[in-house]
Amino acid sequence: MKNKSNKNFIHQNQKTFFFDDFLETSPKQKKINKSKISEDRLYILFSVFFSLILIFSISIFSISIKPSDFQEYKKTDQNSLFLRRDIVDRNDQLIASNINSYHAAIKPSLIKNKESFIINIKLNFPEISLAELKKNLENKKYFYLKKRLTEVEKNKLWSFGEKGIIFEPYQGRVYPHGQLFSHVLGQTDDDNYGISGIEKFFDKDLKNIKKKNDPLFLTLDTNIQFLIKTELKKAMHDFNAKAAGGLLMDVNNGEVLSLVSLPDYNLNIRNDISDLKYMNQITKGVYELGSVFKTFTLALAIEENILLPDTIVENITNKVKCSKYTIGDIHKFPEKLSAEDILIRSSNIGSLMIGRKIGEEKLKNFLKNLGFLKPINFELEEIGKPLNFNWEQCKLETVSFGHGITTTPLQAAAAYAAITNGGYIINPTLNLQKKLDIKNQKSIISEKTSNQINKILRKVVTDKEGTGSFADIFGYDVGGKTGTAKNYINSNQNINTFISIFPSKNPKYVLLILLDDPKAAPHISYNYRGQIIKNISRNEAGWNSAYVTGKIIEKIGPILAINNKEVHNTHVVKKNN
Amino acid sequence: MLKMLRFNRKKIIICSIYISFFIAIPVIKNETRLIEKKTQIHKRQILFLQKNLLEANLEFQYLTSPEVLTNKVNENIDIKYKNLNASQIYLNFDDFISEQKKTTKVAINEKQKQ
Repeated sequence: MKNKSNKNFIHQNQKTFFFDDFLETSPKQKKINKSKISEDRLYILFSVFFSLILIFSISIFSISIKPSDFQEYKKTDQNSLFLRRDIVDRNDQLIASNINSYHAAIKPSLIKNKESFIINIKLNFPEISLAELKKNLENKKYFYLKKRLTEVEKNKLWSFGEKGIIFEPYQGRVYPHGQLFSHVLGQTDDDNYGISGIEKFFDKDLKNIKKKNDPLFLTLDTNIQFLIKTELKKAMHDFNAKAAGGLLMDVNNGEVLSLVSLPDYNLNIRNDISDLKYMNQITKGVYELGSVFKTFTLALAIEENILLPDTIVENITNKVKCSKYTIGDIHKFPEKLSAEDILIRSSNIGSLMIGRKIGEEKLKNFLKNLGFLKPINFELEEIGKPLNFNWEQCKLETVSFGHGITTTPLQAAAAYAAITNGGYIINPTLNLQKKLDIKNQKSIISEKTSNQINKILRKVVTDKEGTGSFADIFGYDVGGKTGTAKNYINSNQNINTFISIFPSKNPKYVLLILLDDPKAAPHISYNYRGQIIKNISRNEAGWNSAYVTGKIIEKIGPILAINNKEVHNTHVVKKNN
Repeated sequence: MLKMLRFNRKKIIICSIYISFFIAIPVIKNETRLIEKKTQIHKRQILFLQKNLLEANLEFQYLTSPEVLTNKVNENIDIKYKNLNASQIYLNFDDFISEQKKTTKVAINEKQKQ
């Protein structure tokens, strides 16, 4: 092509040459010169179109690789659905859950007829203060009319047709069982932060996004909790008690099946409660529990080979002078009693004498190892701290029968579990996922001593002289110890406790029943070994706490027996054969 | 000439690929969007059903709570329930039958004695 084009300019026979005006003679150049559109314009147009195509291509590419809105929608929606995990009991029964609800807020500037609005509010929500509402409307600032609306309240407000009512969505916590678990579960605030009980202790765990589809399993059993609460409520009425508490715990792994404290309150209603009787009696209440401590004194004496259960303790007097105090017994006991009889009849002087034989240092260390001298480690915020005391004059004597030493009922139940399960210290727990291997636990007494104590505790219930006869429910082999103590704040009031274990041959459960300031109940017909007794004016733990324990075991026994092979094999199969 | 043709063919192929991609991408994207919209609708339906299920479960848990059931029983049924003794609990039907047979035999023997 090039050769051909050159031929146009230089002829083969050409002998001369001349300078041609290239710009004028080049056809291409001539064409360009003749064209109306300049070359620069073409370049500009090209670059514009090219850049447009480039922009579109890039944008299409970026849209293609961008994650879709759907995924974002999914993320936000899931977050809004599960702010807090559900809480369920050991049988998978729901005891706390989140629901979507609304707060009603007001934008005063959007409310046209303020007077009719106020009248509507007055008619439908009489609990709202009108003076405050008027003041807020005049301020013209955004404010909350009512928080945590129910469906009915929301519909009422909706029917007003006011633009100024803003329904702010929020997630609220609901408790389907109302006040059944009030002292255990605790509550959350409006921002879904736990403020008391389990809700506070497991706050982080309950908000863990990774676990949001799995509920938090508690060791509690709703049915047993209800049965114990019902009986305690009845007992409070029958004995005119100020407060009551009940705790059922597995002695081998510390799982708390029921924790009841009365009076209680409805978790679904937010109220300020300042009355002390509403505190958790089992974990927060610190009491002098009295004679239930005699079991520890005797267990230590047997463990240290100071005496055997049948060793006779002589010269048991009615009164003992100790420093400036005089210690005595309510009843007159024989001068000679076996060690086990001291516990069965609950003799203060007998226990005091055993305590003196043990010595202060050993008893102190034993109680320390049982965890009585410091607050217990438990999954609730409301934990009581035992009152500090000095091991001065007479402390050994009083502590040996359970006076002058304070503790929470939870600690006492845990100590009974340790004494009766073969001697292994266990820590009470509400978390079902926390598995405890009893054999890895620290041992406080030998299995032999533990078995001996179990037999004596059984005799407290079955023996003619025993103080806990009313807890002897056929088929459940109940053992236990009563404790009647004076309230250290008001000495006219009693704190009556009964700590039972069952079945006593191979304990599985410990049940603690506490009544604060119970009165004698002459209207109750007691069934004492087949005899009906009425008009009883006695007020010791055996006549109320042990009686209530019997009533409770009668009801919860069948439920526990079905779940408990040991109880079934011992009491059901044997009977059938 | 051939060279030029080859060059043009290359250009044509590149252009046609580019154009086809240029057309295909929005088409695919549109289809994807439509599918995503459908998925969103289904997702919303699932969420709605989940919400209903949660509420139903909550209602069920409330209505079957021991307290509510006890109140309902007291209101509607005029039967006083008795607590079972351990001896009255049978974990399988055979145990129950064998125990009943024992009782029947005792009753028959007593009749025979009479």
